[in-house]
Amino acid sequence: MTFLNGIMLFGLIGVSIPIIIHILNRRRAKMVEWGAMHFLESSLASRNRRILIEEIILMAIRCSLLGLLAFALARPFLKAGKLLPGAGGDAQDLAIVIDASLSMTLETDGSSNFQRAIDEAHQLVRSCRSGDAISVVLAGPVAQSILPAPISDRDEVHESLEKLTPAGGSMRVLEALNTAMETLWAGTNPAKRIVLITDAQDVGWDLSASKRWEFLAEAVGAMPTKPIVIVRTLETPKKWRNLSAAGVNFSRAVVGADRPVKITATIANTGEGSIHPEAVELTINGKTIERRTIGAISEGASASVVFDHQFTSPGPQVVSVRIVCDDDLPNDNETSRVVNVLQTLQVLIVEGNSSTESFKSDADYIYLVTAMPDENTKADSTLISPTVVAAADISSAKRFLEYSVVVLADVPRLPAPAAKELSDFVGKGGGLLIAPGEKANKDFYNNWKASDGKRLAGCRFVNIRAGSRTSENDETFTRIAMGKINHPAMTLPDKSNLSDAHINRHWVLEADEKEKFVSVGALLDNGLPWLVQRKLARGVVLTLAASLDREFSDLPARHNCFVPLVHELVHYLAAPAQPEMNILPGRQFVYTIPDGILSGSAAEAEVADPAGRRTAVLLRKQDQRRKMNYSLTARPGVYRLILSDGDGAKSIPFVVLGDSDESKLNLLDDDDYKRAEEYIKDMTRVQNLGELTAAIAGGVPGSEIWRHIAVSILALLIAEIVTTRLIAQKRKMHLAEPITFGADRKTGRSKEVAA
Amino acid sequence: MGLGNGQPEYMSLLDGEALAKMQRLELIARGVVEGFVSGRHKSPYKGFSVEFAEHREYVPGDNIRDLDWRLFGRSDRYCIKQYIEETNLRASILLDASGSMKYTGNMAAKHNGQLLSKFQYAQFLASSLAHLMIHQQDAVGLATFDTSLRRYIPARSRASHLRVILAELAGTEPGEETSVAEIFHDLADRVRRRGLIVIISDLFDNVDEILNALHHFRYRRHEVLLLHVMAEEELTFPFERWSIFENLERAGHRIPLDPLSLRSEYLGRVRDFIRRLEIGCGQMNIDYVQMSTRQNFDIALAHYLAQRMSRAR
Repeated sequence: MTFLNGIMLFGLIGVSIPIIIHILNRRRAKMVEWGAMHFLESSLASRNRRILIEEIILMAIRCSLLGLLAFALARPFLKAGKLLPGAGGDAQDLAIVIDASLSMTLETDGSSNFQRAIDEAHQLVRSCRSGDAISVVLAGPVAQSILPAPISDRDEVHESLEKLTPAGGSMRVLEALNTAMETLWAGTNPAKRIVLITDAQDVGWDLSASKRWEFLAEAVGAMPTKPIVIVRTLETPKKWRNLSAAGVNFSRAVVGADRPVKITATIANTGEGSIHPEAVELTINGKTIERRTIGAISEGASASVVFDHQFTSPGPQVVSVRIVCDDDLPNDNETSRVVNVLQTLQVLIVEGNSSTESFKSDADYIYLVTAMPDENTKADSTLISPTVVAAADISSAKRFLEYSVVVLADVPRLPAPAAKELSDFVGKGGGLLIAPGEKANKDFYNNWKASDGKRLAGCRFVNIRAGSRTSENDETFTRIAMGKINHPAMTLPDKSNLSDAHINRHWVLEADEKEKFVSVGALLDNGLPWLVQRKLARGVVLTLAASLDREFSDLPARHNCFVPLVHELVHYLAAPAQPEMNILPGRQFVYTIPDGILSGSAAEAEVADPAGRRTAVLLRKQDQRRKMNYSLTARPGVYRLILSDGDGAKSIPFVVLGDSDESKLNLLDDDDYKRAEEYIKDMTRVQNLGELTAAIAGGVPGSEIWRHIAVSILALLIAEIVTTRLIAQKRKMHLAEPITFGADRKTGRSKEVAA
Repeated sequence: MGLGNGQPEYMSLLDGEALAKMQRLELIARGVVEGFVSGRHKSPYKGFSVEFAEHREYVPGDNIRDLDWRLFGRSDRYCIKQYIEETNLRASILLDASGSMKYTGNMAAKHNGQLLSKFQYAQFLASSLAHLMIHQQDAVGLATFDTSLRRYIPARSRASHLRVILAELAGTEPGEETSVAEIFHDLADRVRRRGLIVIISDLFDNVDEILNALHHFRYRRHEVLLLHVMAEEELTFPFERWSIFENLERAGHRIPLDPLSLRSEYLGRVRDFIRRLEIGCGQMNIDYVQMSTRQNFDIALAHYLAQRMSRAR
């Protein structure tokens, strides 16, 4: 037995009310001085036992009356099999969950599975009994409750079903079931059912995520009546052809207009048989830039197409890759990303000492390198815009937040406020590159703590050590171990010959590898760390084992590797501070509107989703900039933030990512169902509409028994009244004829009383 | 009980209005039905006349001894001399001063704004009766009792005796448990000369024993007037809330109970008690008068006397 309104069970305390009243009555008894004690005593002697019995009966009736009332209000619910006669036929709450994933748009026999799912939902609604209430959940990458609470108005249900469109991406089953249960919680009918209409694609079921399934099972168990989950699996074609644009990658996290970036598109064949696409097109902001023909892709294989593209203007730009091919699932033939092309990347270089002599300052080489265009760039401007400040004057660099990256070039130590500010800067997404040299004070670096109380550098500075190898001219050196590089910023073009560089001396760094936010990115060939990475909140700190000047190594002399190395390190460090323009479904899109885009003081903007629907968003002022949040990111595709001021509208694109696995039509097998059934016991699979309507019409899992209790309460009530009457009658039986005494005999009592 | 205005304490027992009513009753008794009350008593001793009343014409059949020869000598008319007849009724008032008589209740009649307890009520009855009797030249005695006989004042008819009785009445406070029957047996032995026994009590004792004792009085050829005083609460038992009943006769004796549950039983017993008294008294030819303290005692008394007169007629 379960209770649909368990809190009412506290009402059972009410059972004690008659007893408390009885005790209170006894307590408040007033004192009566009495003469005719003799009569009382003799009356009591003969009646006492009877009175006790009467009171106990009455008390029992009253207590059970209140108890039953509380019990009935708690809405007890009897499971099937223990049905009372006359029970059953209770109405149910039904949550219809429609798989809105990309694979549901797969067309077979002229219509898509999504359309079929909608049609079946309509049929299902028609076959419901009149008392049933229905809620609807559209299960895309984010589950949306279209009807958040079950309703009985059929027209409204049909109407909302009619408006549904496929969301794209994959269906998150756990989320969808959770949302369905939330809608069922809002319903009042005892029986609960969830109907999931899906193509049974295994993406999004996450059956290996046992913790999350257990959590769902717990939620199911917490329902007053466990909902039955009915999974209706729609037919999928046995044979199908499909190419999908599985991904687009950029060679750099920070893309500037100064140099070309490699755009790698991945094309996967997820259907059957090899397919030869007509072409692969690269489109930027809707303009086709390049069209490339590729060879046939065999079944299950994938191909990468690399485009080299140099952006010409800064700002967020939509990069799309489209496969020109006629396959069964055309919706996954195009995928887009938004790249925020930067105009400049502000870098602050703090030097340990400055010298008027050329290339004697610690920062000279690095300044030169950052300010210098890459050799193979055609642009005459550079992305990186360096500013140099001496460590002693660091307070003059007002706000670190104006820079993307700060480089400490052999800085001995920093004043405490600056050190603190720098650590906050990293926490907010800034990048910090530490290149210690001769002057670096190891005590300062070892005691420089971040806000989490751990060393900011992520490593301990031990001492400076000379290389162990000896060259022809008696120079001792060591090399960077090329085989031990696992940091993305250290993967340089092959021609850079980083391995040839002589590191004559270097700091022995002892990485705090126990901390999970610390990792060693590259080693020297003596096994000591060359690059230590430490993550702090949003930002990254990279510590090199040597300074970036001629003091410790001949790196600055090697153009081929020094320039790309510094550029990659800076780009890597700058990446976290860049706004995330490609977000996962359901995540919030947070964007700070850059200076100069919006001249007016508009407080509101609009976001257009892939379907073109517009939603107003607020622009909040923060640090003199305007910021916006947008969370209706349930549908994968290209969204646009539309900012309008006096000069007309400007749009900033962003992308909600789809799921490339959705293109693979892997279906759930029996084992998968078994695993799901381990978590959700009441799960049934149906193969057609007939079975589906039968499943929801079938026996109600139990019924409420409050009607029966109500009848018993009524009976008890009558019993109480009758008993009270009987007892009163018994006790006052002789009272009909009052004792005649004295003058009453003649005048009559009534007359006396009237007088 | 004193009124605090310089009068002797017992005078409070004879309040003006009551006395006025008594005297009015006396007037009725004397004037309208002359000597009737006393006649009703069937005084066992022949009275002797002292007070001349009037003359009337002789009619044949009159006792010749009653002819006024002097008048015959003066006027040559046969006239009969008539005298006020006096009887020597000896009445003893037996006043119950037991604890149960202390009961007052909320429905009792008021005297000077105060509710009368059964005892006060009985005191008033006794004093009124004593006054009435003394004024009729009857002899009145008084006995007060609770567990034992407290005080016994033999009957006298002198006017000053009234004061003795009233003083005694005023000085009596109700005390312990009742044992009516025992006392009655005792008194039946003590009061030798036949007369009227007026019992004022709530008679809270075993009814058989009471009737037995009353029979003793009758056996001694006493005439018995039984004034049964009860409070209205004792007759109706109107309590509704849980109450603790505390015994007035025995300190510390308490019974907590729900009055409603016991009411009918209690009333049944009281009714039975009264009925048996009624029947018993009827059989023994005892004048049994019920008096609820709810009625004004003077009205009750008048009621009784009127009834007595009407019966005698």
